[in-house]
Amino acid sequence: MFAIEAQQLSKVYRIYANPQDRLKEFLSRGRRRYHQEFWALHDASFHVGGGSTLGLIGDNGAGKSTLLQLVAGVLRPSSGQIRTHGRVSTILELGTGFNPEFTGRENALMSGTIMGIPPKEMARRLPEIAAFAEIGDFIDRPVKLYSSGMYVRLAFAVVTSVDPDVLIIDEALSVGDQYFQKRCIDRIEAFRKAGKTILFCSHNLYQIRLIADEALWLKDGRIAEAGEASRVVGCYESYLREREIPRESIPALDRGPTAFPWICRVQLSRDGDDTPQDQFVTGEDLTVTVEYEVPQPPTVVHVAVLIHRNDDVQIFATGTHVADVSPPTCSGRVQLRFPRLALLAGSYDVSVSLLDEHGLHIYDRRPREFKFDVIHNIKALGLCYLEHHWEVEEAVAVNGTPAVVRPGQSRA
Amino acid sequence: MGRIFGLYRHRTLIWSFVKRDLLARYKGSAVGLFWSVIHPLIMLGLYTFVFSTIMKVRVGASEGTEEFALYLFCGLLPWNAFAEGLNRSTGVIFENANLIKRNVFPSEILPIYPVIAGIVNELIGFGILLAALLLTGHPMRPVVLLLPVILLLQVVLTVGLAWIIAGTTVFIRDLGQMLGVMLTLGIFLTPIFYPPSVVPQGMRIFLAVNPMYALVEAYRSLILKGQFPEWGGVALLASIGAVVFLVGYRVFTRMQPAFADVL
Repeated sequence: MFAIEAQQLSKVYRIYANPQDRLKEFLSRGRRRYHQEFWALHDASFHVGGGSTLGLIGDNGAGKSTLLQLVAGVLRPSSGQIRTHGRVSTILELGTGFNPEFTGRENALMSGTIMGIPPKEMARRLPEIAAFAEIGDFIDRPVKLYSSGMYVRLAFAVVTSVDPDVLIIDEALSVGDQYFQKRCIDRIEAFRKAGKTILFCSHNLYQIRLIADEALWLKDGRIAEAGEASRVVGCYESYLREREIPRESIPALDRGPTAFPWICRVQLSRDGDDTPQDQFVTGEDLTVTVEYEVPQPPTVVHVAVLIHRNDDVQIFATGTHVADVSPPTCSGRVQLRFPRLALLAGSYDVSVSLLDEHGLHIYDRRPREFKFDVIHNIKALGLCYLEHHWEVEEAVAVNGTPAVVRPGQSRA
Repeated sequence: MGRIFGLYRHRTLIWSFVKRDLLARYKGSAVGLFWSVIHPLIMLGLYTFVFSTIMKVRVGASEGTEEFALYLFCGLLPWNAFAEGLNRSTGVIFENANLIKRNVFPSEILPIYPVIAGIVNELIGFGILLAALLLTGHPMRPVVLLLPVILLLQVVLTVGLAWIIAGTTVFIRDLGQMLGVMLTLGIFLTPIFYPPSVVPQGMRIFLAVNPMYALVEAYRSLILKGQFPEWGGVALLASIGAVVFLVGYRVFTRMQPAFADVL
């Protein structure tokens, strides 16, 4: 049973240059077109199982809010279908729709009425709402006098107090102080445990990784990636890194038969498997195989290998000249093995250079040509996995008794 | 059409909007809601002074000069409520855009609350008028108890028009300006400042199809003359009101899904 089902959901806005155009088009009864179309969401199909949490990520203007509004039923899709099961409760764009002139109490009652909860029932829940929002006497003052923090606190308290089956949260957690954010997260966790369905969007990718079971990455109104949360977030992070650096073209050397040695083949593979790979899991073995031609043997050559992440961070470089290894002086091949790859999720690439006997002159190079992706299925964030272990120790008690030392072992 | 009864479900919501609206008008003033009593009181006193004492206008040849102020007041109260409801319905969707864009909000209730707020003010005015009539020894007949029926017909007609205007203004904002002109024409084309008897014979046909004339005359019959209103007029008012109400609801709910896109 799916809590949310979307089939080829699209939302197109008609942009008119001025209000007269809207009237002209209306009067021409569709014979002439005066608008431009803007596809805020294009052909999005997905479903969220009952009790699971879907995180929505993407750049500003990618269609996240539109999607949430469609699911919430505030907007009607231009085409496609959206179905939800059960009571849907929403906080869209920093706070639910409150009437600024109404008091907090009246707004809470109003929100309840809109969601189909009788005023009496809502009135019964008010003390709990006020307590969670921690707005004190402000509950009886117009909402327009609230600080943005109070506003969101009340909105969150109201929306979560109505016992929804599906909770939709749009960026609401980015306001409010640390303390309140913590309590929101606690409440969302409680919802998750209670088997509620949650759809939320956040720019905090860390939160998405932690809270969401699955994630949806929207790019220019289309679903760019969907599936298991940490994998999708990984893809998005990788895209963000790549976008931030200016692409400069590296002048390519003439390749092919020359008087000097050249690289003829580079391959990435798993250990003990000769088929080329471009996707690895953290902890697997990665082997870089480099084959080269030496037209005038014997010529001493050295092979250097460099790994970059796609945002130009240089991760590791080594060479046969550094490691005191002597590659064949005629045409041949070398293999560089990385046992138990420590890299975490991201996009990486390998550069290979063929150097002279001093390791100074470059005979041939293949800069950043061999790309590979890493995914990880362990709980970790960052660039690479560092061997580690934790030790915990209780604080020294006040009466002077020595603290109990418990050297905890946690080696992943 | 069955959804139209859903309006009843939202009665508490509508009422909280009306209450807020009435309170907001006099917010921050020292006597608050009392102003909605003071205002019509002063108007009635002023009309009496200007038209009865200074200008000595008569409604009919047989009636006294004091009658005209009451006649005018009794006509202006429903007209003002009608005009206020319609005028404010032009902005009501924009004012509550925040609710429509962030909630699955029953926006069909929005054009209703300014209409009801106008009716509440009208009722206060009628209360003052009735009190003034009793104090001056005017006879009051039991037919005055039929007032709620005519009020209901007024609400039905006004809400129907308010739906059409509120929905259409979202797409064609010029309607707000047009409405101002139409209402100015309307107040002069309906016998409010003058008795229907002065209307030339050839023009009477326009009175026969004007539901606002039927409405105003019904109030005058009940309150001033103590008679049953003319059944023809009431029937016209009721049938036009019902048609406008149903058409208005349909027009509004047809436009409703697009509000969140345009706002």
